[in-house]
Amino acid sequence: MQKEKFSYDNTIVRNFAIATMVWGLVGMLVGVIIATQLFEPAMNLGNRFTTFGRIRPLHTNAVIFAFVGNAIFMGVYYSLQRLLKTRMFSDTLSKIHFWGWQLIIVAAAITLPLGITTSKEYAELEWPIDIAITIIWVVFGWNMIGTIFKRREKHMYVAIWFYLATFLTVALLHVVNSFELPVTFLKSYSWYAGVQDALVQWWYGHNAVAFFLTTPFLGLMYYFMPKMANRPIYSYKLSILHFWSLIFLYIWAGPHHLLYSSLPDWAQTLGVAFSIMLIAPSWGGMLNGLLTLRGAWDKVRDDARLKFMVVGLTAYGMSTFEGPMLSLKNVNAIAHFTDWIVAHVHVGALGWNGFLTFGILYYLIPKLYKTKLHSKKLVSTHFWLGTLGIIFYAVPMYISGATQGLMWKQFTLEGFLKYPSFLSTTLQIIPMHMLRALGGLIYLVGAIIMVVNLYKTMKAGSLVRNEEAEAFPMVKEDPKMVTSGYWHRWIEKRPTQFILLSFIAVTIGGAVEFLPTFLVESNVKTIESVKPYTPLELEGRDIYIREGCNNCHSQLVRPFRSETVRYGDYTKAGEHVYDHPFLWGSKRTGPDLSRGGVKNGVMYKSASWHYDHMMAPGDISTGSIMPSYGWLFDDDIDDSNLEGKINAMRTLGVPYPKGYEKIARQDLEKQALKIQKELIADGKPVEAKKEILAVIAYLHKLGRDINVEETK
Amino acid sequence: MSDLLGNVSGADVYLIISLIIFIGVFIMATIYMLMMPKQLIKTISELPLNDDNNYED
Repeated sequence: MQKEKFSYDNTIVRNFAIATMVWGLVGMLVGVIIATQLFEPAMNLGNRFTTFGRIRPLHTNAVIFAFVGNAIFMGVYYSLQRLLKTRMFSDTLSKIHFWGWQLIIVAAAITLPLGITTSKEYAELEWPIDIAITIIWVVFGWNMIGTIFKRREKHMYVAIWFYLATFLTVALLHVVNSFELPVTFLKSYSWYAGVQDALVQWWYGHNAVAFFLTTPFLGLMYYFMPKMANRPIYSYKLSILHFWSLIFLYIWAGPHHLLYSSLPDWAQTLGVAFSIMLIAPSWGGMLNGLLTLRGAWDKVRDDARLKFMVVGLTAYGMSTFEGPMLSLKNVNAIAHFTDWIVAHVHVGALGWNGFLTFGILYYLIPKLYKTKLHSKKLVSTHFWLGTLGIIFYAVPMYISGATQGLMWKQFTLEGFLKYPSFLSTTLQIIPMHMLRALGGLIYLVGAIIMVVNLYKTMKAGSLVRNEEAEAFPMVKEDPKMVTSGYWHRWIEKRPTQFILLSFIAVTIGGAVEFLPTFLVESNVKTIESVKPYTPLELEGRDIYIREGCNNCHSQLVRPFRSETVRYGDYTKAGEHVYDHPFLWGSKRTGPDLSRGGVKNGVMYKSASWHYDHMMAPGDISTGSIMPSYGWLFDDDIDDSNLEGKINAMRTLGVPYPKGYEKIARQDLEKQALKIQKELIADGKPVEAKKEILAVIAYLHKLGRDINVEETK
Repeated sequence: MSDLLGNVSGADVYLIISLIIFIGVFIMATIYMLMMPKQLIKTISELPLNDDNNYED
């Protein structure tokens, strides 16, 4: 049999590599900026486009989807061609994928600072961009599966399994979580409401971590670790077992983000149980990677690329142990809503995703350019800066998280909250936030050194655009293997069936989680006194979403005495039946706001207090790190789409009477006038229809309706 | 357990089904793994190392 000649497409790998580096620097820079905003409000730069609420999603999206996303594609396009001994299925699809993905990133970078957001974490992009993501993702999958079908290598290496599971599950997660009803070209409401929306969101959110930040990187690890160490993976058997248990377990763990919320108890328990079980497959992967270096640890001493891989895997091991611990209800009670969670995700992001990406970049660029690294010394410098950066980031955040958790819960002997002012905790942790920003900065400097080093490496060599290769065409059957008919080979040789099986595995997990909450009516008890938002409150809620208030303020009081004393009655599922989307939040940089409208409650503030506070938060609460929202006093409420919004909400099941959209504007003006009069009476001049009026109306709605007994 | 599930009638069925499915998948994956011939495992696990241009069969 004759070997066939063909070539690998290196240009696409190089393009994704450059995109990884560029977006990596951008994402990390925005991260450093928002970190400084948490101790120096002036860093919000005094304009609406750069406030923490708007650019925190820019940071998370840039790092997850731009930096890590491009790194995944870089590694997949390189390894897939080589593992399957064929060029990518279509160069055109590769190009569409590359440019489409970059356009989506640019669209995100423009819309998020403009306040165009759905508010759902890591899924903030509005519906037209969601559709674009779906299309480009399908292009990626099509190109990948096409390549699998035209392969010259019969066996599919385990890395490819991880890539396939990534493609399928991310597609499923993205589509299900992005169900939204468009109101205008850049505004939509989530299809789901309240507790259901929360469940879908965290099923998505948790699995975005699993299937965007974990499985593709495990695939990359299974390819690049053996390459760098020049020896096969420690145990291929372990990789199979760990693959199937990982994808099957991960999909259930989402509800651990909603412990002590109004999500049904059984769903919370299910989330905890599966989270604990996840330790086994996660550590299986970590150990498999680390043990690959058995007998070759001396290489780690000399090769900084391997150092990146080893620390990356260790960080993976640490964060996948920490994750299950955080999902235990007693740990979660202290850690949730605090900086601990931020530390946890950054050990994963900076250590696992960041370091693996750096290691792979240092491996790939010299290969693609047929040259040597410009400076090995700089790689080592980068490694130490990166490691120091992670330590300076994580340690202060753990201290800060524990401080928050404990101070919020501390009572005096007399039974009063020891720190009743939320601000006292905020001020206490400011030094930690400064150190955290320093850690981020050190990490960024390391990344800049890498980019310079790799740029010089590229300059010294020349890109091998099409790398010549040859391989035998795939034979139908290997006679040596036929004698023993093992059924796993049946799967391995049939990518379609394999895809179908993985799809079933993840879908069952999702369905079992959702179905009861969606189908069993008694799961979400309706509360008769809870009324839909008035038109002014609805506009106020949309402004709240636009400004990303939910990035710092939760709307979920957990059933702890420390929380009910501090904020008011705990949250019930029935309160949120009209919340498209839910706005529970996941972090308390500021206090919980869900009882802001309970007049006799501790969290109630008058209209005139909100007026002063929005104008200059630091003047009202000395030391507050909240930026000023001056434009709320200058801009008119944009009620041009009010009819559309009312109609959309009605379609989603909010009981606005028929024809209400026609008189909604009158109601809005009437309510705005009332608040305006109240403010003027208190000596606060404000013109009619200014946005501040809508925001006050919304804040005064929060929790107002449930000051009565819950009814079935 | 029944207390935790008290607010949803029939939810225990979902949990039991899910447990059975999970254990089933896990057992299948284990059998699959154990039944793989050694030679095949060796061949597959060496795939990343054999993909360079100078690769000879």
